Amino acid sequence: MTAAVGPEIAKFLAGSFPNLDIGDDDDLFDGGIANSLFTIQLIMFVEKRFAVQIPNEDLELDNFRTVTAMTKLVERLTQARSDV
Amino acid sequence: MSDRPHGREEFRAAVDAEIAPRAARFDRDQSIPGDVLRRMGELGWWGAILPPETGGAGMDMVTLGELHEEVGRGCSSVRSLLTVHSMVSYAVSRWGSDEQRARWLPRLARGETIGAFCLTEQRAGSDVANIAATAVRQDDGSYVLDGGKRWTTGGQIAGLLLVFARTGRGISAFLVERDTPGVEVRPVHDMLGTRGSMLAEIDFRDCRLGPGALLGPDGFALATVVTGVLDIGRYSVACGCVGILQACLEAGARFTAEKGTRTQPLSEHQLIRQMLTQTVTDVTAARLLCRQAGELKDRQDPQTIMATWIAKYFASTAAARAASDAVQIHGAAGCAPDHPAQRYYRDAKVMEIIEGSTQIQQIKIAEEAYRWTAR
Ligand SMILES: Cc1cc2nc3c(=O)[nH]c(=O)nc-3n(C[C@H](O)[C@H](O)[C@H](O)COP(=O)(O)OP(=O)(O)OC[C@H]3O[C@@H](n4cnc5c(N)ncnc54)[C@H](O)[C@@H]3O)c2cc1C
Repeated sequence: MTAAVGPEIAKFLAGSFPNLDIGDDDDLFDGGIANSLFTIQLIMFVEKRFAVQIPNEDLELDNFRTVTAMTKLVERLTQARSDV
Repeated sequence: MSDRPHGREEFRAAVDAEIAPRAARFDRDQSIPGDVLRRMGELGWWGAILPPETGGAGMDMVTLGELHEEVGRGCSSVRSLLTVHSMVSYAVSRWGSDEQRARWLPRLARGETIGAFCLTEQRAGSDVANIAATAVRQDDGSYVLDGGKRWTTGGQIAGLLLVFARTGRGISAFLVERDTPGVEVRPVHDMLGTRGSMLAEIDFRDCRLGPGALLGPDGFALATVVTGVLDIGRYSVACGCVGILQACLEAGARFTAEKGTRTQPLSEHQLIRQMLTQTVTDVTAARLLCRQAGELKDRQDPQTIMATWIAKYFASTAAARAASDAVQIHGAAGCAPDHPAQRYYRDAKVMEIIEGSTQIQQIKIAEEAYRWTAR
């Protein structure tokens, strides 16, 4: 399941920005792609799609900056869940 | 619990019995009396959005929207108090620590503590990123809050303030108790509309907040707490505007069916019918847009954010138009002291300014259009 995380996020971004070609390491914030309105959509997507609740300490810009960063975050959160 | 209304018909009946007949009075007195606030607690309205285990009614978002529509039909000021209280409740339940949730949710659910939302400042309105209030973290983990907030709905009666301020890391949210030393609340009177919503200006001078006051992520509140909470507020306002539209429709139809000359009641005039037709169409469309936004919320679908912007944009502009028509239809009677039409007119104009003004909505919605449209 974890293998699909990156591509799923990339698919969501591609669907949201049909005009852009967003690479896994492209910065969504420095590049001005994500405003705060889109950022919350992104957080909602991640939480719903991967059935995780992102704790406050993980809600920071750096965790959502790139597809790679988000993938790491989701993998860490789902890993923590399966460890319980 | 069993006497709590839980569907549109029950909401409507309660509003017609307890809110609508007194709305002109609330507007004139510029306050909602304590017995009404307590009754709203008995009806489960303060805790509508909160889960039953915290003492809330656990309503889904579609039902919450119906409640806020019906309350808004009766009195926009009462609805405004519910709006900001729901925003604070949502923030605590969504981003609060276990401790914050245990401490505040039961009180918020009962309406024992009223919540208010303190974002806007002298120089930070539509452009929220201009916030100047600061919360400086001390060595012991506490914060010292300084700043001034304006236009706080319910500020005169709120016991818990959700305040946004700058920390070293960016903009953060704080839960501030009203009786914290250094909090000064000054009532604001004689607003254009929603006059019963007990607005205040609030200054924070050297307010010491415990480490447990920080709500949600430090420095990343704009894209999380602010945007999430405003989404709830915007949804509530959109639904309240559907209520204003419905009230305008009912008042206009009743009045014109009764009034006119012996040979021709006003209802026979085509130009009157044109205005009513527009209002009927608008209320139907606005209600559907709100319902769609509510269903997307219930499914936690990210698209609800934009659906809510669109619903609020449509409903608030339509309500302002319909209320203007309602005054027109009533003639001098609609301008008279305490007449509902003039209150709808004033209240509806406020709806075009709060929770994302009409111009900001026009900018944001168009931005989405360019985002969606492939080149
Ligand atoms: C009755 C009432 C209750 C309120 N309750 C609360 C509350 O509980 N908590 C709280 O924090 N705030 C509250 N507010 C404040 C409200 O949120 C602000 O009024 C709103 O955000 C607009 O900000 P502003 O008034 O500073 O206007 P500004 O942002 O200064 O805007 C003034 C005008 O310029 C337009 N404008 C601004 N930027 C642009 C742009 N980029 N392009 C084109 N036009 C633009 C706006 O649409 C508006 O017409 C309340 C206001 C009212 C009237």
